[in-house]
Amino acid sequence: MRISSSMMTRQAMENIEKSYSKVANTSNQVATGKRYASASESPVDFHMVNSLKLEQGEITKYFSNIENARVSVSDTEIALKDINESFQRIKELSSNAMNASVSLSDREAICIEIEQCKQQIISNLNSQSAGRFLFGGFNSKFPPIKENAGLLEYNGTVISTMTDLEKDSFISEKVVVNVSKGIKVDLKISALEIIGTGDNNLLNNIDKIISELRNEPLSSDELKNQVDILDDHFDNVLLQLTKIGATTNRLDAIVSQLTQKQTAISEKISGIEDIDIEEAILNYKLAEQAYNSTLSISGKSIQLSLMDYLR
Amino acid sequence: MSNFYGLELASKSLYASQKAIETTAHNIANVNTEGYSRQVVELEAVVNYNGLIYDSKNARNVGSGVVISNIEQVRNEFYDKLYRKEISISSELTSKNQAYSYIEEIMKSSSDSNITNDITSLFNSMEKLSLDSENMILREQVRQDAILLTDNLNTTAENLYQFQSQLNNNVIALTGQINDMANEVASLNDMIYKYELSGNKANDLRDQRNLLVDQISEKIGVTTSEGADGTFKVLINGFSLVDHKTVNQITLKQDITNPVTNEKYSSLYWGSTNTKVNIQSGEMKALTDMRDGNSVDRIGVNYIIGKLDNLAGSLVTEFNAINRAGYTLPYGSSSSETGIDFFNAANTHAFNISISSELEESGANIAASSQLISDFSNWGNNENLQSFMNLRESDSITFGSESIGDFESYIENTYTQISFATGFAASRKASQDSIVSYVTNQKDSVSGVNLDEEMLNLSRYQKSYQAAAKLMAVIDEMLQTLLNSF
Repeated sequence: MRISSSMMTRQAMENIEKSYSKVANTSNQVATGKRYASASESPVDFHMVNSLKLEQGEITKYFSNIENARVSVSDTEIALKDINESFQRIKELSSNAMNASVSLSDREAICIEIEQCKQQIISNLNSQSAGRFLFGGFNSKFPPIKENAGLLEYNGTVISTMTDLEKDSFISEKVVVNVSKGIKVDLKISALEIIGTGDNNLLNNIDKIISELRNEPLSSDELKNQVDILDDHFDNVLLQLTKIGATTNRLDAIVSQLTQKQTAISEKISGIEDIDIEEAILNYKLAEQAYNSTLSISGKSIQLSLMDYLR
Repeated sequence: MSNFYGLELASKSLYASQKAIETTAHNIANVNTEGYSRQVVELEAVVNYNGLIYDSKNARNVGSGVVISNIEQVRNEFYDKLYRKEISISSELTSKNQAYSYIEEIMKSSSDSNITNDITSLFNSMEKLSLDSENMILREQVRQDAILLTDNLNTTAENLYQFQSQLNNNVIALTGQINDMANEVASLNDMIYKYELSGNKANDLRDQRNLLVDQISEKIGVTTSEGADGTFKVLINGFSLVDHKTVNQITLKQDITNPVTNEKYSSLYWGSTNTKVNIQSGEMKALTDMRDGNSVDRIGVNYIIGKLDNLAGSLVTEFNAINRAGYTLPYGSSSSETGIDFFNAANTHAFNISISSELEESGANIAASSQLISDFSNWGNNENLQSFMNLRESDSITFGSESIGDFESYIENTYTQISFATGFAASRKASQDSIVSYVTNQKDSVSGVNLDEEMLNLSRYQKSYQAAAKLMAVIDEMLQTLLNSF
């Protein structure tokens, strides 16, 4: 093939450009630690990384949801434990009082303490987490349990005369949180689930114990009857505590699952878009070497001319 | 036979050598001229008066010396045509690649501040809000994220529209250039034709014309044909742009209207017949494809804006439907209401999507509750926010006949389509460039000047000039000898 002068220079230029762009590419890879500078270099990999990143973002979101849920759950647990303690105390006191040797004035003292325990339970039912009431269902703004004209109300409805329909509708007010794809946890226990409704609700039950204790003479049968009802309530509180404990365990399990998944995703992303630094440096060195040789060869070959040998 | 015949012979030889040296000089001078084809002198022995080169029998007639029969341009028309075809594809791909890269940049598909992330942030804020739905700070966060999303959609669409009208401006400018160059080719045709009527070769004018046609084919793919009578045609898809001395001007007609912005864009028409110019390749093809392309295999600005519009439209529809079903939080003197829009229902395109006036007023108008909020009830109700969460998890959202799937993947897929198009154009351009480089080399191999060769020629013709001069001196001496003997 006949070679013309412009071919020679153009080819030299093309070769220099090619090896120079390789130097630029590999040095960019070394500098950023990433395999690609723009999406179009490898759309498939880029798409995969992006969907993995979306998944990663979702997991981060679930983590923050779980974190928030934990605060609410642990506050609920603390309140329930307090209620449980108050219960124990009421039980102790009322069984003490059943002893016939206890005098009326002693019983009065016991009544005052039981009354205090009841107030303690009410205040626990009205406890807050981050400024929101825990046991009021969708009513998070106002204390759910309130005394109005001597009667206790839940969210404005009198508890002792509440119908089952009203009760069910209150209990169904669940604040649900997504903690993992498709997995929801309901955070709220309604105060009604703890104290029950109707005439035998917990607070009425306590009131009845108090009034029995104030009777002279003490009707131990009647009192025993009420204490039995109290025992049922006690079992119920324990059940709620177990439920909350189970929720905590479930959250823990989900956290460890999500952590594993996140690690796996990070590894996958890194595998696709990160470059092995030794390999990158080696590639850079090779490109540099090629560039050097191209420059040296091109520099020499375009200088050659017959003119140097003509006299 | 005259005594002075030898002088005549020597002068012919001197003249030929001189011309050859001048041609060599012309070649050397134009070694770097774009489009220049090297020229060679064609020498021919002169036939003497009686039609014989020499009469060996009588030794009466020897040869009559040398004459330059032609100064010929060395070129291969096959490679010229091939070059034009390949360069016009190459320049189309170059412009396409540039345009796609620019669109990639507009969409910021590889950075962290893009539409996908805005949608993710909006949903994440809603998720946070669902834990504490009466918290005004969290509601404000949702509102801000919604504004960020609409702003980003607006800016992206706005930039795309600007790019589209910039493409249109380029089409207009390019059409002007093509017409100008066509005029130049026509006037060169005339000059070459007249010059060559006398049997001469208009070498340098031909080079100019070839270069000009090469340049035209970068802008719009053309073919050429030269008739036996020396008339030259430049054709776009078989329709002549230049026919010898006449030019068929390309005119512009604003016959494309953007349905959203009502901006008008121009198409190319033949001035003479008022029919559409069928653009096959070249930069013009890239510009019009990018400007008007609206299908998967012809991804242009319209296609991408269409995708963004679908996204915006479905965001408005879906978010409003959910927000309308729920109840807002009471604030100031407003009570809890239902039927409130999230986005402004009147603005369903990417360039104008905006949050509703109610949401503009307060984040309280995010309908988190599924029931009326009053007195004791439903302040913490987040059931309607759950519908938003379900929307996020849903992967079967549709908008009109378009299947959106889920919002984030929909926009991600659009990004991927663009980067595929960019990558495809880039890799096709790379292989096209190597074809162009091959053809250029072939063309150059035939037509390019080699300085070493010219140096050799220079020495060769210098030697022949010296010899001819010596001949002249010898004949002069011969004549002196003859004249002095009397």
